[in-house]
Amino acid sequence: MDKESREIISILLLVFLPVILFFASFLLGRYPISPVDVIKTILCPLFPQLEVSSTITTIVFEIRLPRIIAAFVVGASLSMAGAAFQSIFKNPLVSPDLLGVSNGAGFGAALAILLSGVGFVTQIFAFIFGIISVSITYLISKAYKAGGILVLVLSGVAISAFFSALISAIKFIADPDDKLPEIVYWLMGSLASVTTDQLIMILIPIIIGFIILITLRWHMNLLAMGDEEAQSLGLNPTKVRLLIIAGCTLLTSASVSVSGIIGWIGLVIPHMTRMIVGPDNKILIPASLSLGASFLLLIDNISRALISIEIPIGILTAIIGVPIFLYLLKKGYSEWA
Amino acid sequence: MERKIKVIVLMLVVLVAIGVATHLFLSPSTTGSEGSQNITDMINRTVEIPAVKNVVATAPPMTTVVYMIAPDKLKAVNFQWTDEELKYVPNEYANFPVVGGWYGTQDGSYEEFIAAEPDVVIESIDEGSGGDLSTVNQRQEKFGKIPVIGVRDTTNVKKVGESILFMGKVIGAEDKANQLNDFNNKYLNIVHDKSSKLSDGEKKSVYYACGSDGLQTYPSGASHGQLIDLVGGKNVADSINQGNTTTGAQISIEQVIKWNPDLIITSDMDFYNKVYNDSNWAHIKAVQNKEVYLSPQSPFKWFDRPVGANMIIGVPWTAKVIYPDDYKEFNMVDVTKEFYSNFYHFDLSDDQARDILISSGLDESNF
Repeated sequence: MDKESREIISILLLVFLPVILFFASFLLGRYPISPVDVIKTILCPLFPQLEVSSTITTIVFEIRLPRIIAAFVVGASLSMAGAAFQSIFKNPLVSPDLLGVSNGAGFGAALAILLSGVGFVTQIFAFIFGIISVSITYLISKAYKAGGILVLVLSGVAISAFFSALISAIKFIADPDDKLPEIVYWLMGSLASVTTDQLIMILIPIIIGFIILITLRWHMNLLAMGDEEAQSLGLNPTKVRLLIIAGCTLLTSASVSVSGIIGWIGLVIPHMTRMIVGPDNKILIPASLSLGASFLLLIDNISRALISIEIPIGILTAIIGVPIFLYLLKKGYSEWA
Repeated sequence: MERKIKVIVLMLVVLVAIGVATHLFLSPSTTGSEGSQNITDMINRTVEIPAVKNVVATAPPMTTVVYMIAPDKLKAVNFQWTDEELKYVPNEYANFPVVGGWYGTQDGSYEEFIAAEPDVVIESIDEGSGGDLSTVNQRQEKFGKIPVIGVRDTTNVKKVGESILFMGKVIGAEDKANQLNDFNNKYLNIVHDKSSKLSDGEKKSVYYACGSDGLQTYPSGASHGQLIDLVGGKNVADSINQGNTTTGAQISIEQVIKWNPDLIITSDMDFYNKVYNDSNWAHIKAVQNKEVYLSPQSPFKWFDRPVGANMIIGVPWTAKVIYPDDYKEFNMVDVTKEFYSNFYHFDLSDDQARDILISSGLDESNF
């Protein structure tokens, strides 16, 4: 296949897949609704003369819509953040929770469940502690004069481990019948109880993070060449890296606060995307957004529609993601090794 | 290429924005149906309910109550009965559709519930957790026009009567609800009278063994094992009740040997089947005196798990187990038969009732 036609196929895939999946997802669910009814219901707010039943309206707008948006946003955010991290740390094995954001958010959520059990408190705690943990990591790396990327990564590992121990401590003292299952379930990750209000709450951090990563994607290419290189081109590598980390942290923290910890996506989607579009961050970042959104949407559809209870999403991301990933790996990793 | 992608991203953002906007401007219309009435649920929400024919509950405790007082109105259950549990379930009720639910570590599927076409959805509320109202409101939002009724949870056998009577009113099964409540009160009162007269010296010490190794337990005051307190047994695990927490704990066999309880009660069949052959447990008085008792299992456990109306029959059983000499007036075979035919819709033969009691470790001379 020549380069030209490959490009066209990639563009079609990356543009239309998420759009098609977005609308197709409304047709899937445990409650049988005919496609015609779904389309009528979606159009109803615009054309009030259409006759639709209130049950179907509830299912489409209250049950399916928030989840579809949530899967879309969370998948996109984690993949973008993963792609950005992999490029600025020049390491293909990096995922968005490298600097401790997931365990920090997990601790915040566990603490909130222990203390109050109210949904939005849990969300806010998760978001704030996600940011706190990354801030601690960053400040520690700054405190050591010999700084640099390695120290940052190592302090991330340390802070991650620390918060992970705190999560275990909370599990240990939580009521095993009431609080503990809730904490464990939250940590497993799920989009089952996402509400519109939760999505509105994370709108702003998501938009800010998104703008930061989209605008700085040229700089990521420079950072990937190394700090001296970037400096000679008139870039302040430390500053840019801090901004990118901030953007990724906003995205990841906000996502984790609605969905719990969903692993694997932030690590693997960037690789899959790279196999399709190559390593140039200018294209890689938006392409990761698109592929991540599509992937999580697909997974969540399976999770909510396959059997009568919810299949925890973390199980599916790996079970379905691994074969796809291995297939792509077989196709070769020529551009980026 | 660059511009194209920008435009595409913008389009996606606009699409999502339109989706959110339409959602926000959408106001669902509600219409009153025939025979509907307004009720106030147990957390003071006013709900309009139709004449109730089909009920589903979001968690097992209330599903159990509906099964007990109006099995024909129960539309679906939360989990598949095991073969062991099906032993005393009549054929017509053995094949309820399973819809899952929100309890333990699982989430239910709203669509699955709506597809079961219930007239009302029953949401139980745990005592003492902060998220009650928000959970109920969230359910109501997702269930749209199907009324969600909040019922104070039935995790305390002393208070469960209230929720049973409330459920009876809501689903039009007042006679059965009264009958169940009366049965409960009868045994609660007898047991209360006798247990309040016990002096500390007369109380027997009891260890509640949970888990397949029997090494998890609950102190008194916890909802699990509450029947021990109720009939006046002395829960040996009291000392783990620190700072008024009533959570369970993992303990060591040495600790149990040190407590040396007079009796052990368990709901776990695996543990019960191996406790008499385990050399570690052989040092304990309860094991030496053959005083280990297993809660009957079918169709719902008598002693614990779930904590709910299923424990009503557990009250006389626990009384008999701990203080057989004080409760000679209970004829457990008759009590069991009465309870099963009235509330589990299953007429036991004498032999079946005796079989249940023998399997629970109760000595025949004490029936």
